[in-house]
Formats: sequence, C-alpha cells, structure tokens
Amino acid sequence: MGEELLSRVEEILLLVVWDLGDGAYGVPIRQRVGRLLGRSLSVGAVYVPLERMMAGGLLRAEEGEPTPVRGGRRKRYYRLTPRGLRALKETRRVTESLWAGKTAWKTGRA
Amino acid sequence: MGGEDGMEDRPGLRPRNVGRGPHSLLERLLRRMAGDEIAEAAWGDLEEESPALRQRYGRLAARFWISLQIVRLILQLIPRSIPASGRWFTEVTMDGWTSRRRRMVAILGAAAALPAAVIVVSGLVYIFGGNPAAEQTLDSTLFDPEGFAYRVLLHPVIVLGGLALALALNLLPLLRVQLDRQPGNLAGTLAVRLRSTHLAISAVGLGLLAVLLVYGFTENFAVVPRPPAVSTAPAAPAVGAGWTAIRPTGGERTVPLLSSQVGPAAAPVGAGWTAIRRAGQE
Repeated sequence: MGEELLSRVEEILLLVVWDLGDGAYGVPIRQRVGRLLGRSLSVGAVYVPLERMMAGGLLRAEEGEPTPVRGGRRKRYYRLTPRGLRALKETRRVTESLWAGKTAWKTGRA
Repeated sequence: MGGEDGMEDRPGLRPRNVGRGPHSLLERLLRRMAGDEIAEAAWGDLEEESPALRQRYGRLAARFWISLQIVRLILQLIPRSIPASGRWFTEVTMDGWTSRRRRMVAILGAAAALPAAVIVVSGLVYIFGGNPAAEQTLDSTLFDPEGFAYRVLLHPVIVLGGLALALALNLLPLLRVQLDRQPGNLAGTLAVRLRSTHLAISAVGLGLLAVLLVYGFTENFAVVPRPPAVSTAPAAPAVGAGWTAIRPTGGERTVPLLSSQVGPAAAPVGAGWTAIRRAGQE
C-alpha cells in the first residue's frame, strides 16, 4: 500500500521495459507496444510517458553507444527501478481486487 | 568511430553537426525542448526505422515521416516545458526591432489596408456624394464585374486579410505582454507604447474594420417585428351580458346550469360550452 497507481499506458510501458530487459530502448519498446495495442504509436507517445516515469523514479535511463544506422545518435536504454516494480505490483493488486468475482460480462451486477 | 561519422570522440554526448535545412531546424528545436539526451534518442530511433520506410515508400516519404514524428513530439513536449510550479516570467515584445524594421512594417501594413480603404471610401462616395460623374468612374474602374480590380483587389480575402495583416503588423510593435507566474498566481501586464505611426495605422485599420462590419450587418440583417403569440386554446364564444361561458373538463366539479335561475335567457354558445350566470356567490 502507499505506492502510486499507474495509468494504463504507464503500466504497459513498464511491463514492456521489464520484459525487454537489457534491450529496452525506443525502437523495440514502440514496436512491442504497437503490436500489443494493434496500432502504431508516435515517438512522442512513448518518450513523453517514459521520461515522466523516469522523473518519478519508476525508471532509470542509460546512454548507449552511437551507431551509424542511427545517424550517429545514441540509444537511450530504460531499466525498471525497485520503485517502478512496486508501483507495478500495487497497480496489479488493485486491478485484480476490482476484477475479483466478475464472472459474467453483464452491465451492472455480475 | 566518431571521426568517420563526423562525431567528436569525447565522453558524454558529443555536439553533432546537425547540418542545414528543415531537419536541422527541427532537431535544434527538439534539442531545445527535450534536452540533448531525449532528442538524440528519439531522432536516432526514427533514423533506425526509416530505411524500411525508405525502401517501401521512397526517400522523400521517409524524411516526411521523420519530420512529422518530430513535430508531434515537440507538440507533446510543450506542456512539459512550462514549469508546473515555481516562478517564471515571460515577455513578448517587439522593442528589439530597429526603427528601420518598424518603418518597413508600418509601410507594409498601410499597403495591406489599402483595398479595405478603397472599398470604404468608394462606399461613402456612393452614399453621401451624390456625384454621378464620380460614381460612373468608380463603376467603370473598380466595380466592373469583369475587371481585375473587382475580381482580385476587392476580393473579400484580400480586403479582410489585408486588414488583419495591417492590424497585426502595427499592433505588434505597440504592445508588450508580460506574464509573471508565482506559485498559485499568474499576473499579466499589457502595455501599449505610444508610437504615433503604428497607432495611426492601427486606428485607421480598426475604423475600416468597424465600417465594414456595420455595413455587412446592416446589408444582411433587417429588423423584423415579432409576430404576436398564438394561443392554442379555442377562443370562448361570445355570450350575452351577465353570462360567462365555461367548458367543463374531466375531473372538475360540475358547475350548475344557472340559466333557469334568472331572467334573461342564456345566449347561444358553441358546442361543448355552457353558458352560466353567477348568482351573487359561488
């Protein structure tokens, strides 16, 4: 308890970063999230929440080496922090408690 | 590696030669808005993905896609660039303009307002002049539907757009806007500089705009008297003196027919109506 709850986008991004492990930088994150959601995302739709979460201590970033295929620009790798992991767990706990007992897809009472 | 790619070998981020053209401008803007690290990472991602697009849609389309993505990122970063708390101060002013630039702006603004001035002055000649020779000259020069002046110079876009341009160009050097934000408080100051040329052109422009708006309103709208309200209930039929016509409705108490109580007979009334005469009290 006490951890902040994540928005749906933040939750998805954190899970994807966690899932990608050491290879979590912009391109694979955007591609993975795009495949999950079934639509392509803009660069801003990924970097803005990633940087917001980094400022909030849920992620940390490391600069990679510049590569020719990127026009000599560096990659920015993201890693989940312990605080990000706690936020994910708390969000999952709240979501599951809300879903508990919902067995029928009906409006109103299940 | 750095030498081959035009990069400097130095720890941390190297200053890149962003080159020329619209992409370099976008990259500079992105670096300013997002910082070097994010700008480099985002642009690098787009470069990394662009070969597939280039192969499929062509080089130009790939460049356009990168530009579009960067513009969207910059737009998304704008709210972040405004501090949510703490004090900040911003000022919009053209005080840095040289007098030569201000003079050019004044001349350009005056020229842009000319079509509107022509329309207003010629309209006044028609309304107040009463000079057939002048009206004939205007008809044959300005208001010939086939003529260049009528089709181009007096086109609404030219007239109103020129007026808007004149006002914008001449109000900018006059105004100074300051925004001062402190925690929980946003204070704004609007100062007007007394620069006679810009003030005169702005005043003339506003006057022309007012005349055109009034003319447009009076030409297109007319005062129409409101029709009297029509009642949906049928009018009560006329009955004789001392009699009242009532129409019983469901659930109401029965009003006794009083026609037999007093002298004069009830006047004939319409179907569904009963004529009564009150006998002193209810």
